[in-house]
Amino acid sequence: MATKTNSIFGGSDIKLSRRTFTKLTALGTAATISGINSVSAYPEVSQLIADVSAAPAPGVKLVKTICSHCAVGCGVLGRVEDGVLTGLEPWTDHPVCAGGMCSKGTSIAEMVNSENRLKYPMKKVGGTWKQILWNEALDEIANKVKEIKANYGPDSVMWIGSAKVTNEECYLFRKFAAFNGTNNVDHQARICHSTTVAGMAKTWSYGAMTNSWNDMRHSKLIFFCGENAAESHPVSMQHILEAKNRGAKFIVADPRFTKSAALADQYVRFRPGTDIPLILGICHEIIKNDWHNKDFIEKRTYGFEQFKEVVDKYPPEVVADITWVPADTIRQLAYEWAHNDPACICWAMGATQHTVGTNNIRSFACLEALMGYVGKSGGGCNAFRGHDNVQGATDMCVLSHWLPAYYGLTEGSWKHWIGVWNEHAPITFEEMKAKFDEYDGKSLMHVKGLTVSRWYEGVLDASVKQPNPVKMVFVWGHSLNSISEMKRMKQALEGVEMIVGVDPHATIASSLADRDDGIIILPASTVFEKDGSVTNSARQVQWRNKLVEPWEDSKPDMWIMKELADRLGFGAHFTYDSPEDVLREINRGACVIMMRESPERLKRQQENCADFSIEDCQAKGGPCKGEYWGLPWPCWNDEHPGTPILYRNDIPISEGGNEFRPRFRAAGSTDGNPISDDGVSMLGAAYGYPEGYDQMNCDGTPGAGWKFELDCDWKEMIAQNKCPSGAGRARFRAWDLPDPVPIHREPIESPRPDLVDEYPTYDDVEDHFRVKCLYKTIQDERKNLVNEYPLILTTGRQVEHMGGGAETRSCHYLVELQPEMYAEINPAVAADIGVKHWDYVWVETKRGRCKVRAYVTERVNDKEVFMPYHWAGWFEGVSYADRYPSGCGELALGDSCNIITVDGYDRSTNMQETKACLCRVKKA
Amino acid sequence: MTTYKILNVIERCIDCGGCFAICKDQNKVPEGTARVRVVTVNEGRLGEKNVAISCMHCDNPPCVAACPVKGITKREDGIVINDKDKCIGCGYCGWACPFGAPKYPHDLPAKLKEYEGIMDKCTFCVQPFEQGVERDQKPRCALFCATKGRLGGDIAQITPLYNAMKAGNVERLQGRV
Amino acid sequence: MNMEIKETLETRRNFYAFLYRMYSEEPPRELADDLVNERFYFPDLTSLGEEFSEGFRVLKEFMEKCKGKAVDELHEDLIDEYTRLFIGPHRLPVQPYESWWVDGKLMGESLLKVKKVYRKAGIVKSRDYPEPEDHIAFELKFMHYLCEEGLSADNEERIAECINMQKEFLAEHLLRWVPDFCDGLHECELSDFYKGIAKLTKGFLLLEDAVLGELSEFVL
Repeated sequence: MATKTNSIFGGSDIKLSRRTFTKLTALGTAATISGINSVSAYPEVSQLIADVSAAPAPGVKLVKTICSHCAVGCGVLGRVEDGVLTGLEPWTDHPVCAGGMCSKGTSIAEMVNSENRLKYPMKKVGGTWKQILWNEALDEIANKVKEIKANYGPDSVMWIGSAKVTNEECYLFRKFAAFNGTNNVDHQARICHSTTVAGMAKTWSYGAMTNSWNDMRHSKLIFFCGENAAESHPVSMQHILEAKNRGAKFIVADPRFTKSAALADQYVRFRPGTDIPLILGICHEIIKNDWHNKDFIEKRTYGFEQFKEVVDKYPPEVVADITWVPADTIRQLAYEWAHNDPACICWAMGATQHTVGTNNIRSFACLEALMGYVGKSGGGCNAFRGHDNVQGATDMCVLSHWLPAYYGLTEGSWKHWIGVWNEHAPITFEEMKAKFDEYDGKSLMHVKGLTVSRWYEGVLDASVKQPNPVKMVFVWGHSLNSISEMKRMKQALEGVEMIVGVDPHATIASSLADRDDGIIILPASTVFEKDGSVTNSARQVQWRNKLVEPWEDSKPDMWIMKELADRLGFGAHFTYDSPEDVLREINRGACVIMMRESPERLKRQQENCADFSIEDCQAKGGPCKGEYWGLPWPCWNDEHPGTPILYRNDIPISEGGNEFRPRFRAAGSTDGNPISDDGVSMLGAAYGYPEGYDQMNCDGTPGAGWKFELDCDWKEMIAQNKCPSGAGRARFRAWDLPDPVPIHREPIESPRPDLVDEYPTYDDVEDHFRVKCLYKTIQDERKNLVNEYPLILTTGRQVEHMGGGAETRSCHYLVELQPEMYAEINPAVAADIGVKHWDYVWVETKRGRCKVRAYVTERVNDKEVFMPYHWAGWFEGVSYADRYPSGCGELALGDSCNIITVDGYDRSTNMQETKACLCRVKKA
Repeated sequence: MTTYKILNVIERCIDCGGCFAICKDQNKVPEGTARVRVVTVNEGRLGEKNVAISCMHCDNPPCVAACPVKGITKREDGIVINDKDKCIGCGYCGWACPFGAPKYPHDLPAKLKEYEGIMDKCTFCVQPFEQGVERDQKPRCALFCATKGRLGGDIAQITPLYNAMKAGNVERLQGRV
Repeated sequence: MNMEIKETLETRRNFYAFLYRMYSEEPPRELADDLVNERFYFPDLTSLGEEFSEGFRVLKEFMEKCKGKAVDELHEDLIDEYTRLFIGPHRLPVQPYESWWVDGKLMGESLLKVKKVYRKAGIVKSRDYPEPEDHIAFELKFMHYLCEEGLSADNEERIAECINMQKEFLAEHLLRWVPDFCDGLHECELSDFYKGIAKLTKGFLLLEDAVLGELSEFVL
């Protein structure tokens, strides 16, 4: 270090001289005496510069990738220049979107380069955020995991995973939770389409969209029930409006007059939470008029008579009283359904997010089965899934009650996957079992874990059905303001010992809790900074190419998992040469959905995308001839073209045909003879085999072998036109559900006490995914709540924002379009409470209140209030902006509606009932 | 002879904001101003419609006639562009335009201060906001339109598309329930 | 090599070394130690420009404030300041990237331009360094690098080349944004030690502006 010297540059009167050297001498002396001269002795960690030979060549490239927002899966070209994403170009020959994108998609470049992204791993210490190095962070996290496991057991760590990472990373995440000895792993699907999966799977075995986006072009009637595609799946409207152009009818049934309703031929407003009576009312008229498809029902379904018995109780007059829909309209809708062949039904959260969500979807499936439109081009149950890879994450089962590809938690299922994992690195069933705790005499290996919708109860409720409450939570690519009961969740976040947030942004996982310590946030790369596959709602698997290197110090999720796995003692199981290798492992083991889309075939499709027709997504020529875009699963082998329409059995399997799986077999069933609980055969008419056939082993004998045999390519059976998963019947009556046939049950908070008496909710459940779940108790308590809270609150989407909104509320263009949180209220209600458009109001429920702008519109009627859910940064009217250093918050903050939504959950899946509760509105 | 045009099939517009966002991104249009914007009429009730409003590159542009400094020209290929260096910000073109397309942005960032109050509008993606190198006529709003309802290109090519998209809809509207 | 040129390059190199180091990583403990033990001496100057002398003055004030503080405590404070100014976890209050100031967004055209300049000079960003190349630390480091190259040059042409590259880079890049950035950093309520550094950075670059023109003529 320089020492103070007296050799000041010769005097005090150096003036600016034209001689450069005088200045520089002065500078030199200044540097010496100030001490600045010797500062190069300060240690430096990073090396800034490298030799140019290390770098890739410059120039502009257009790189194919898939948008990261919704499950339509639009293709787009990233314009990459010299390693920088400079913008986007349209991918005009992409079979699904033909170049089209919505405002979110067109903002991708801004999102990737956003100044709001997290750059470095950080840790909150004593109330201040400190930077830490990756190694330090990972060491600390791993040590904490080990400590929690040692002191409390592996189930005291909650792994909240993501629908926004690649398939490979989803698969590894589920595997990661398994290796950590717990089933407490879950992701957004729980709060999104878990009831879809349950509802459809329980009807006809798979719980995915049966047809595809493009296929809707061939519909004669497109029926939305709780779907607002103009805002949630904009590019899907390309196909729907094309169908309309060709003469199809487009009917929107929704509590709100949405942007989709504006484009519909007919709009039907119905009361939130009354989807089932509406659908059953339609079924009632169809059956009464003898319009149902008796042939289909007889040959391919089970339980029609019991279904009819229930439907008889929902004539239009009864339904009208429940739903707000006039009896004549119900009759007319039934007419439309019967006389527009084929018709498809489309839905999203409007139908799924209810205590009766599973039943809602069951009723949709029953309607399709009633008319025999399922399994046809233009028909089907089109579940419009949410996030870009929520289908993939669901398929990979980042879920607490399944192993990847919908294997359950039975010993057989575990052994199947352990067999696959053992091919990668040694692991036995006993070793895996030893990782799990026991509770109540059972190994928790076989017990469903906590869900994302109620994980916080695992922290707060001491009676949680596992050895100890949750003490540590990973919020890995999941926003927290899309989950209801935010006050409870805030408490839970304050109660755990450590929160680990892994995300491209510092989401509210880092700021919601009032705590000074115990939070570590890791910057994750976006999907544009790595290779990997993604599955859209139509089961089409697409490959994404890496556009640019990870932003700042962010890392891909796969890398983070491997590093943690190394420290936790099972790194070999998470060490792969490439994402392609992981996909190959998935191809190998995911037999239940037969996900055999290899990386090579996917990339070849991407290259030859122009050969695929927009009408049916099939390649009409070229190297991929005959293949369907994305090789939708089931994709039985390396020659199979994919199955674009599930359950379509008028074509051979080799061309994409498919059958209902005889999945449901009650006691008394044998191999070859699955029966219902009332002794009816569950085999149904099949292509080429009118008597049907059971699921089979590789050699064709009846058995469940198709699910477990890794080396069978099924070419022999397919050549005989046999579907390895069997040919069975769709169920009108699902005997293993609390309501075998869907019936109406009022929402937990209902505006009609009289209907609560007639159509009460479920009985309380003691153990619903490890926590107690109240139904009847709270419905009874709140039976007359409508006297205090007279309006129905429902929630939903804005086109400009996505999910929890951390990404989109960091984009200038999107924030320009939607800068503030609001609640839609009807002009009559606004007049009553004395507010004008854009005044502040309080929206209050029993849970709490939100301060938002009033958006006065006729979209909602005078009994409803609507709030979008993408907002965070305010809590009950108090801005959290001061939790961010000044000027550093997200571009747009707002109150979260999930602070006030209701504490009701679907009876089968624990899905939150965010679509119907009671509220009141006051001027603020 | 190529003539470039923009046509909106309003029956297909879902107000997704895609045209707005990609135009801003591609043409570096600053915050607070937009070259294309979706306007919704009859919001929340039957008859709700959306139109993406921008310069329509009229055949006989009123703005060209109105500009006192001859700052706006209609090119041979039909695209109407304005010279920001000539513009005096008088606003006459704004009055003349039936679509309200000309904008006079204020509150611009420091490096764009010289353009404050100067007219800016859609240039068919030929000129970004900062007058730089001329680019290809590839209107991004049309290329990226989610429903393919906004058409942009050679009028000879887009007119048949427009007609096809409108034809079905006319029947639909007549038989509307 | 001419002795005066050599001294010049050395002096400037040392200044750049100090400045880029202040931005590239959190302040080291040694700096806190030096401040507490007053091993810096910031004289009153006028000949090196107003901003420069202001920078020294502000740093001197800061050092006075540090009297009597525990080294580790000051070090923690400096780290916290650096973190909230340049690390996160939220949006930075004053963006230290050229693209932000010149193009209005991050990762803009300015980044592409500077990458070209670096490549032409024979270097790229190291894989270990996470920030983009238009970060203030990197741009200052580039000037540092050119000083070093000049010093280790064995012929006049190379020295001239380095100095000319510096002149161009200063005019076309650094001066287009760093003065505004420094003003912002100085005014930002979250900065403390960095107020002085901001002034000094701006002052030094303005001085460079005055100096490099003549210097490049001299070596031609």
